[in-house]
Amino acid sequence: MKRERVSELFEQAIDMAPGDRAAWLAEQCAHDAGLLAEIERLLRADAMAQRFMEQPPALIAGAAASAAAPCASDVVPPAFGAYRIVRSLGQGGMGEVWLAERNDGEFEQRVAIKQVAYPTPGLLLRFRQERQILARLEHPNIARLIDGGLAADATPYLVMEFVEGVPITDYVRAHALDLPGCLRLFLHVCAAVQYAHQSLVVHRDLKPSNIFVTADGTPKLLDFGIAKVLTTTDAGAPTQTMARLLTPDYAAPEQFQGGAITTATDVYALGVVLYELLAGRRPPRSSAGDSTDTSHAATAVLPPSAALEHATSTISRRALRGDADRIVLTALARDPRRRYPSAEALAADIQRFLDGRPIAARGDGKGYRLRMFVRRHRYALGAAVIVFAVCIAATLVSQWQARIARELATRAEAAQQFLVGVFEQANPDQNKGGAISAQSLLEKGELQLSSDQSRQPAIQADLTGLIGALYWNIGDYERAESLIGKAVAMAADPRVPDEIKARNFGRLASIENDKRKFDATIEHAGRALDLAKRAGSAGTRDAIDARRVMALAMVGQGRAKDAVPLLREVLAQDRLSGGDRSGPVALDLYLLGEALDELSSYGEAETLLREGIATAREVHGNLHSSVANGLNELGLMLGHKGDVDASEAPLREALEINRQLYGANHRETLVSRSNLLRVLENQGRFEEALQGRLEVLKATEAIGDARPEQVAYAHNFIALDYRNLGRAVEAEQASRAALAVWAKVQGSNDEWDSADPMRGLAQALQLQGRFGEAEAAYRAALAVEARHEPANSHWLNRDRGFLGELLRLQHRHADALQELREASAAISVASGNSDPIFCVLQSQLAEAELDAGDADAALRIATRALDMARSALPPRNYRLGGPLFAQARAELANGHAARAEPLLRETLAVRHPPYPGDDLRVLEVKASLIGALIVLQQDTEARSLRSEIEPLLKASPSPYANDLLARLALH
Amino acid sequence: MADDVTALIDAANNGDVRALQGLFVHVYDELKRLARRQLAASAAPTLNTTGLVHEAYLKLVGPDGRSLHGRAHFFALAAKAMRQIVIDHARARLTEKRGGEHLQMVPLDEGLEVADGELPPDELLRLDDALALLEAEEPRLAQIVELRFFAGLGLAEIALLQSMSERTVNRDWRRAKAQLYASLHPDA
Repeated sequence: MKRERVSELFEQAIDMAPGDRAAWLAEQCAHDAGLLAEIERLLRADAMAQRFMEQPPALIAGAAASAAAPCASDVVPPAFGAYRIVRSLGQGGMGEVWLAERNDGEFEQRVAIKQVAYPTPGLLLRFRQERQILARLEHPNIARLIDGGLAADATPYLVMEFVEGVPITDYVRAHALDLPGCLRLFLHVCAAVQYAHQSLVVHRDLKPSNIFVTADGTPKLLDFGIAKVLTTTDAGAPTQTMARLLTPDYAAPEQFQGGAITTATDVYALGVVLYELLAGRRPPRSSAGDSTDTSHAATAVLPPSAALEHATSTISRRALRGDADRIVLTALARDPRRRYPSAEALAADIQRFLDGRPIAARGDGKGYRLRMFVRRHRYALGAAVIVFAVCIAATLVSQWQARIARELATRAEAAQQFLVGVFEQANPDQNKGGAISAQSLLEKGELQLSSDQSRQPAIQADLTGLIGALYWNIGDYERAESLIGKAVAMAADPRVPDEIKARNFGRLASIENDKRKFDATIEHAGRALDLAKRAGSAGTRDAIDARRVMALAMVGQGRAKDAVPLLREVLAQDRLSGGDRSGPVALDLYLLGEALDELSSYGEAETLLREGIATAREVHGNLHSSVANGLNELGLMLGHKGDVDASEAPLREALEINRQLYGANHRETLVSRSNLLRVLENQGRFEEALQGRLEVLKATEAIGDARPEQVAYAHNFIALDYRNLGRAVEAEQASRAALAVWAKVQGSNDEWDSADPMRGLAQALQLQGRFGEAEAAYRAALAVEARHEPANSHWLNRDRGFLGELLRLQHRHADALQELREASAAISVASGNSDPIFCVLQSQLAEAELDAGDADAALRIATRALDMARSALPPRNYRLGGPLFAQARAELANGHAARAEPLLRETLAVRHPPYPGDDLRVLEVKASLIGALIVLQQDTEARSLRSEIEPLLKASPSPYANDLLARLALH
Repeated sequence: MADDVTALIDAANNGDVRALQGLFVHVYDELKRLARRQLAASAAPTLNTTGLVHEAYLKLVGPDGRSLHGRAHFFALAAKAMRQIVIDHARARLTEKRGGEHLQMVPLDEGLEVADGELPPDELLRLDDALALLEAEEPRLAQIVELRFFAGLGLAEIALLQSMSERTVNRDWRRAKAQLYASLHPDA
């Protein structure tokens, strides 16, 4: 395509209102999709590049800086209106600073006059900015702006209050201030900085030579020359053409690294000044370290007490040790998130120290733990955790910062202001130093959000969504949904940028997915994806998140096959943007492993899950929810594969991690516990499992019913345990309880979730001999499954197997054979041979063939089923019972009593326990064993067995018991 | 000094490549020298590219200046020299960061670093590469980027130097930014 044409169209397009562009461009590029794409690409870049390259790279002075030589200006001082120059005060960042006086006959005033040395457009803008900033600052501890004007040579100048004093460091030394004296003086400095911050001004160049103390002991902040206004009121704000400037000794790490400049930047500089005041020397430069090392400054910086210049100081090492050290080091944290969030917070801690109260900067270890709690916010289930206000505020800020790292700084800073505000309201003072809950902190945030509507719509929308998502995490689902609903509704506001609309739709999709509303999830994730794409690079992250949620919903719908390629794409994108070792990569590996698990691709699933766990360990350390989640998935997957014993270790470690992270009764821990109980159940240890299940149910109910599916699952598993312990009536009650929960949640028992408890109910009824009701329940379960699952579904065909078995017990052999043959055929196509469900199905088919009269077919099928079962299941597993018994019966029917006998004894061993002695699943084996023993002429044992089981069979209400009695009579 | 440079500018204007190179070295050295001097004399230990380039002009060419053509030429050259200085140091900083071998480029000064402004060093290097590509296609755009970004000149000043309307410069600048941004962020 022609370059000129591209530039021509681009230039015309940028003159248009953005809304008019699309139609016009479509018309211009009607026959050239490539041209259109190129222009659109440029326009997207144009929108993103507003601030790009608007700050020229600056040269920063290094060590040479401190050796300030006397100014040797050869320029004749110009005249500044009514002011008369007395002498030069030195050179500032933009040019000369003069001492001048004004004498209008009445009184004499001494002032400092600042002039621009090279009046370039950039400098002039900066100059104007400083003037505007100073004009809005009126504080007893900030040097005032008095006047401004144009000099004779047309260069502008500023007239400022001349502070007659000395730098704060000199003042402290000259007056030999003790520790409390020093700190009290410093509190005034904090107050001035806090005042500037509240006026949305960051100083960015705080240092002793900019903090003068007058003879009467009043500190004054000078030189807002490189200060910055935090929020711009309109898009037409002057772009900063001046280079970024800084003083290396006092500059925060983020200033060297081009990170976001926030109020925390000034807090860092205050920390350096305080350090210097207390220790008599400066800490090492922050540029010296590596920014990726987020460890506390304590690891790098010597505490002031240890750095103290003892001989010269009036401050004792002992006075500094402990809290004073901790305050300074917290202000000096390399990671802005770990610093005091505001000058006021720093001042508050200093005041606490002076009052002899406990300071807030304590308890770093706990803070770290909590940070981990919220950082994983989207994908994990959180709960109300009692925390220190300081910790949770740091958490919110850090979470926020992680999110906005890529966004416009103004938006980020305004949001941070908001969070700092939340923090301040949650001040430990107001809570009497006690703990507050995450819940109450969020409530404060929500209140603040709704009480102040002056915020930019973009920020309002994003914060509303964020707080909604956090509510979801701590389990307050009603508020979460209402806030996220509001946040999504703000998408209609044209001032909300696309990436934020995308994010809020993503948040909505995410909770819908948790609620198993998969159609809605996919719809809203799709909208999020479209919006994120439209937002260009600002939406990259949100596009990935939207795809991921979409894939999760597909897995939920049973479309794991569709989800896998989507997840592979997400994984590739996350690797591209964050490298091979990152939190998102670990998460993607888990999700992909989970989807492959669904597809029974166990080999690849295991590889990916193990890789994900290793990644998570590397990124987060061992004690982290992400590690626990991965171990959990791995354990479940191994269980599905039939490798029951191998699944125990990862599930146990996951439980241990969650117990440490959340405590024993947190939902996350309970889910983990439930998964481990599944192992016991797979191993046939139902008595132990039942005790655990009942405890889990109690704890889950205590959490509240906002996520009732956990209660339903608990009932369902309890039913399973009761069934396998032969306690059929209790099993029936538990299944009905699970069904009742689902009916309440979903309005009926027609949804997929009800299929499993419905089938459980059928089994419980069958055990009680209530065959008619059981058949109806099986058919109801199958009808639901048929609506939600493909014909070759594992679960669907397993349940057809159960129905087939019931039909056989009712002597409806043709129906039984048809059901079992079809189910077997469907499932053997769907998966490999070493599948426990397939083995059971085959053994059911073998018994049906046998009872229908084909002993040959029965033996053939049963032999294969037992072979497969032995390779798929651990030895002595209770699920071997079906295949063993089928094989034994087939052998016996073919006249091989000697082969049948050991098989029957083995069957008894695997079935009893767990099944009790009077259970028909045990009695049927004994009945067959009697037959074998008679053939083998072991009459004594046969007789004693018969007298043992006959009364039990007669006592059973099941029609099957009668059949077994009839079979005994034949022998 | 001023005369030497004036002669070099004239020769360079007439297509003398050696003169152009000599001029570049002159400007480059002068910029570094000025940076050092300004630091030593300054109470506030900061300086800026814009001031440097203007001061270099005054020092090298003199206050009465040259024809507009000569001025334009000088600033174009100075902007290129600033680009070189900035990129050299970005590279040096990156090498330092990665703990690599000692830099091949001579540092501007022991105590002098190039700040990254909004752009970290590695991004600056990628920008430099992208700019080289743009230069091959549309040299005019690339020159505006040098004057604006590296030398810190205002759009009005550039318009004057280049004898273009401010509106055109503004459009070119915006398109150049979009092009460069797009090459730096291809996923956008």
